[in-house]
Amino acid sequence: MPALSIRNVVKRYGAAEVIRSLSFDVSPGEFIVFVGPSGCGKSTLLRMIAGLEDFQAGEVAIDGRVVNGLAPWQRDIAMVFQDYALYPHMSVAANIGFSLKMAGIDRKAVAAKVDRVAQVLQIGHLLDRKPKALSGGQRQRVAIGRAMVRDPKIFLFDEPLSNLDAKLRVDMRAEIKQLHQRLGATMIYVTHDQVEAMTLADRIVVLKEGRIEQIGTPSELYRAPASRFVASFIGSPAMNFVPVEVADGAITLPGGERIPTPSAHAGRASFGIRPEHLSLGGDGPALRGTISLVEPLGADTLVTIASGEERVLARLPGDVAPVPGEVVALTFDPGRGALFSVEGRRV
Amino acid sequence: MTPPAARRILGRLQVAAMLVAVLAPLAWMVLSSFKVSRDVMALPPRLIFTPTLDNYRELFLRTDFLHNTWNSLVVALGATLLGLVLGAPAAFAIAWHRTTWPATLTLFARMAPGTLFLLPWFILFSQVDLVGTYTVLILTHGAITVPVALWTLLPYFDALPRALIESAQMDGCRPHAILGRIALPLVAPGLVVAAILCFVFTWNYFLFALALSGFDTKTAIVASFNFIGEGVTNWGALMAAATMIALPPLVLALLVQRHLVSGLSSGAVKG
Repeated sequence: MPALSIRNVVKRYGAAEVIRSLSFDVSPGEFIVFVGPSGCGKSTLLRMIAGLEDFQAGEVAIDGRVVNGLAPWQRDIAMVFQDYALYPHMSVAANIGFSLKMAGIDRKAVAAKVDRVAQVLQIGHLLDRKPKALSGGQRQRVAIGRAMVRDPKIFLFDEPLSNLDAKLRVDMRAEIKQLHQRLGATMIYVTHDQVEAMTLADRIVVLKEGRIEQIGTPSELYRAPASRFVASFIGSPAMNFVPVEVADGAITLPGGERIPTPSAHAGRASFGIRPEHLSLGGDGPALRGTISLVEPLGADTLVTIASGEERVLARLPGDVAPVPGEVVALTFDPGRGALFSVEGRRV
Repeated sequence: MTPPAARRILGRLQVAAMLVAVLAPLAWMVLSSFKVSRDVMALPPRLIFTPTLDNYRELFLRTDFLHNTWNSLVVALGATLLGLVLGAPAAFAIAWHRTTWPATLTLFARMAPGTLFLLPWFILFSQVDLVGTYTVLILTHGAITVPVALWTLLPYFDALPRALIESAQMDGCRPHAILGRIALPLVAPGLVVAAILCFVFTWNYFLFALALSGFDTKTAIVASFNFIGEGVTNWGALMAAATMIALPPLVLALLVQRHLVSGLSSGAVKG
């Protein structure tokens, strides 16, 4: 039985449809990440699962039980909010134990559970403090502790790391991943950061304008994006796209070079190739142009070449040192490329 | 442009003019309460005079003013409590649902002249034998305190982060628990301000108590009216009563200032 089942849910604000008949299942213990640009409906979808947002059609079932119309506290779920939402007038211990207290659990049992959670999250020394005396990372831990203490069926995370600085974000990301491995709980996580999505998720749900663009493992989305949108959203730096003509089982690149393709598509299209799949020199078809920018990153060097209007970015080994102005050929294995129709679908 | 020095002097003159306008009647009231009747009415007013406590002696020894003050206290506290009990949940609900028309409706009730209510209330409460009781005075002053509490608390509830309330929902709070355990403690400074405003407005309100109080429940402000007789007014005693009546609101108004600065909800969100 799926831990969570979403069936044809529709959400409208007035005439605007923000969630358009979505369906998918989440298996027990799975880490699912909703990812997409601002306004794609990912937070709304999470809030619908939480019971904080009503919807016009469809069904949400948790552990096989339809929860439409049930209040948030009746759904056996816990949520970590973007702004932490800690109760400022309560101590850390009271914050973590609050849901248990509301459930009528006796004081000793609450204290024992709070202590256990605090130990796991290494915030035992902070239990008597008020939220305003905590750092951002500590507040985030308390917010996670508040969710953990309830042993919920599903953890919901609404962009929980977006208020942290870059370094802390990387640390907390690793901690959330470890937490998932340790608890084995079902987790649903919303982010607009594709790196977070790739590193955390068992499966990623890519959303665009209230629709599911693609569901798959990070590797599936990376290797076989279903659309140009997914291809450009997943992977960093983003995939390159060059305009091509397709005819008779062959792609004609901007320079006139032809490469064979299994695609039956004919006419104009976009050919996508990831920066890390381009190399300087070597055999195979190539994209040619003048180097316009070189960005050394240490381990890698990002090289941008320009050919007319087109810009192509390549991630090359750190030890190559190309010079701006140099005319180069960036070669690639045609099997690594992807072809997209003008409408953006994979063809 | 006015030079800075001239502008500063102009500013100080404005403040001085305002202070005179606001404080002169108060000073006149307090000074008169220590004068004999002859001096109160003297023209031009006498700033140098022999102070006397006769007016206060008359007020406390020869009238029921202490009992009337007690009545004022019961009515003001009761109406304040009523205002907060009804106004706070209403303000919370209005802020949460972002529906302002009920708040506007109560504002109309507050803006309508008190005389509008008096006749229907008098008939209604006479029929149920409530005229002259504390109950009727507290209930009717609720028409003042509920809108005051509601409008004072509205911005405080509005400023609460929605995620806090949603978090409480997730944690198993029913609406009354969200209000009692999360929202009210966080708007405590607002509650203090609302309580003080409700108290002061009820304490100073004359009309409802004039029409609806009985002999035993007469409030201080209505009782002070007894010093105005046909042809003769005991100005000294009236000013002593007015001074005593003005004292609690004055003290409370000074307290409000300190509580207006709210800062409890810092640390709730972000860093």
